[in-house]
Amino acid sequence: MKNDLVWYTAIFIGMGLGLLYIVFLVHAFAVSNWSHATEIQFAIFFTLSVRLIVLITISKQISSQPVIAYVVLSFEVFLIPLLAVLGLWTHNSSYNSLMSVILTSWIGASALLVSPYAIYQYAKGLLRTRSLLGVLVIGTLEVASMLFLVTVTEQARSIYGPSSLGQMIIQTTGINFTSVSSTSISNIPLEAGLVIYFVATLSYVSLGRVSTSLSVRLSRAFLLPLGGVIVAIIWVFSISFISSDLIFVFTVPTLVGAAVMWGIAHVR
Amino acid sequence: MKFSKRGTDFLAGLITAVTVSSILDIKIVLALCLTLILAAIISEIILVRASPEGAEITVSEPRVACFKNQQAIVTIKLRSSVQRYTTIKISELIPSRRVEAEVVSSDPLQMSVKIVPRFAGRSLGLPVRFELGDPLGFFKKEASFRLPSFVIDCLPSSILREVTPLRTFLTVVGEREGRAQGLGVEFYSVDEYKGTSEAKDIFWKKVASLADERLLVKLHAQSVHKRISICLLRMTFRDQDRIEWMDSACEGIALMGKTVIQTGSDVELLFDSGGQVASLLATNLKELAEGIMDLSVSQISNLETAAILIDKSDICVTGFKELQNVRVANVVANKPSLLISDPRTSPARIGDNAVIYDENQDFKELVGNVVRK
Repeated sequence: MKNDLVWYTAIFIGMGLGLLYIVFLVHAFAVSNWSHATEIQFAIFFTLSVRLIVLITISKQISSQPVIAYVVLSFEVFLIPLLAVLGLWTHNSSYNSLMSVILTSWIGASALLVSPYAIYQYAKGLLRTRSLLGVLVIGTLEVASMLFLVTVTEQARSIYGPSSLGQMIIQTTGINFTSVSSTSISNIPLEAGLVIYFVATLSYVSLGRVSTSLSVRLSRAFLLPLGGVIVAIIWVFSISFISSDLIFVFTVPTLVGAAVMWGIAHVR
Repeated sequence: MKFSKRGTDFLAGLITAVTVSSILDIKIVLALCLTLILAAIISEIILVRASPEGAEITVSEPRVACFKNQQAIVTIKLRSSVQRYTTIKISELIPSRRVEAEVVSSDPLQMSVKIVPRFAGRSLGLPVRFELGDPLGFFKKEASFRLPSFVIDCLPSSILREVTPLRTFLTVVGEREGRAQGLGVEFYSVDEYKGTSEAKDIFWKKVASLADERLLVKLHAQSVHKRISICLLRMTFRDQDRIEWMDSACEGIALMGKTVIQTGSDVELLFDSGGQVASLLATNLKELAEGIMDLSVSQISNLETAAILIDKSDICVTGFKELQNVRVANVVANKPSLLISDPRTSPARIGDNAVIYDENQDFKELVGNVVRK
């Protein structure tokens, strides 16, 4: 019973993040025009697709962190230092251009192809891991990256292949990361994805216990965070519009709450 | 109350997530963190209010009896009617010097434990530690519980030692026949004539009926006392050394008792039970072992009870600390006695019939002196 619920919550977390990815993909395809993309860009895009298939295959055989295998299989990463040295040595600007195209294409292709793989790995990892630290931190980074990509593509007028997307990501990150990741988009699928992620993560934390005795009735224990969900959803989508200062609305109460929790645990 | 491993993990994850999402301005994650912390505080308050009073611990057998250094398996079960949402599980058996315990298998409400008692005597109660958990599993609260009705009887291993029955002399005029050949009047068995056999014992009627030329003799049973009384005299409090002292006393009484029973007499165990002299009769080894277990939880006697115990007994088992009292030492000195040594203690007097306990001795001489009396 408990394992089934954990399994369902992991699926819903994956679905929530997947919905954010779909929103990003829809935006990206709406403005993309790959007719002028160079062969290098296509080569990187397709080889990355092949590498991901290899990665999924070997991840079933070898248990290692997916990110390690991904970096090992990314030959672009190893080409960049070589091209940088050649560019500096020969003073030939074509090396710098090539390096720039490879780097941006790799980032753009990764955003398109690696994001769903990362979401899949994260959701799969939720079934095995017992570390809430990993669940919360990686989940936060997944949401942040998805929101960032959605915002980047939403603001884009046209994307000329993976290199163009990568270039936009680099430029946006360099200019103002904070304002970009703070989404102000009124988009139903995006909000639905966020709410699904929110509810599913809350359920996961409530249910993913190491041991549950027979005396606990899961269905009733579930009411506890459910009340919190309703309050929080109202807060996120209503009250937060009144107060623009998120630090006082969320951060301070959360940290005060954490301190209270820590205090009760140590004083009693 | 303290954080569980999961709780520590949660707190670290939450603070990191709050920091990251505050910097990146991700409202939904901040809201999630706030909701989680509120849920965690509610969960914590539920645990603070919870008490283990509704928990009931039962064991598969209320009394476990096994010989010293041998193992027994006990299953401890927890029936919980503690507050709703709160979890409870047996976390461990509190170890004691007397009984070694090792968890064989464990789930939240049941634990199988291998028990190996190291000192002879009766242990009362089973100290168990259990853990209360909050609904979200972030905190834990430990509580100890002693199961008073549970008894571990560690039988003295000297009951298993080989003991040959004592031979009594002709001068012994016992109340009953013994369990060995002797010089009594009761018929014991028939055997072939040997060089040591006496001519008056030849069983002529039987010899005449035999076809061959064998000579048969009548053997007579020895005559023994009906009952030998052994008392345990405790008059002083022993703190750390009590377990070892009682172990030696139980082993000594068991070996003497077995010798007496093998000889054909019964053993009467005398000890102080709540200011009264308790008497237990053992006619076989099983009764002897059970009697020693009752005796091992005897009370400390006052002078009046001590005087009755010494007076009624044939053999007195006591310690060096008791013999520091000159009056007691003088009275005990006149009796056959088994003395259990106490560290850094010298008795005021040791009688000629006293034997100091040593696990390698068989106390035949001490018992023999009483039987032949």
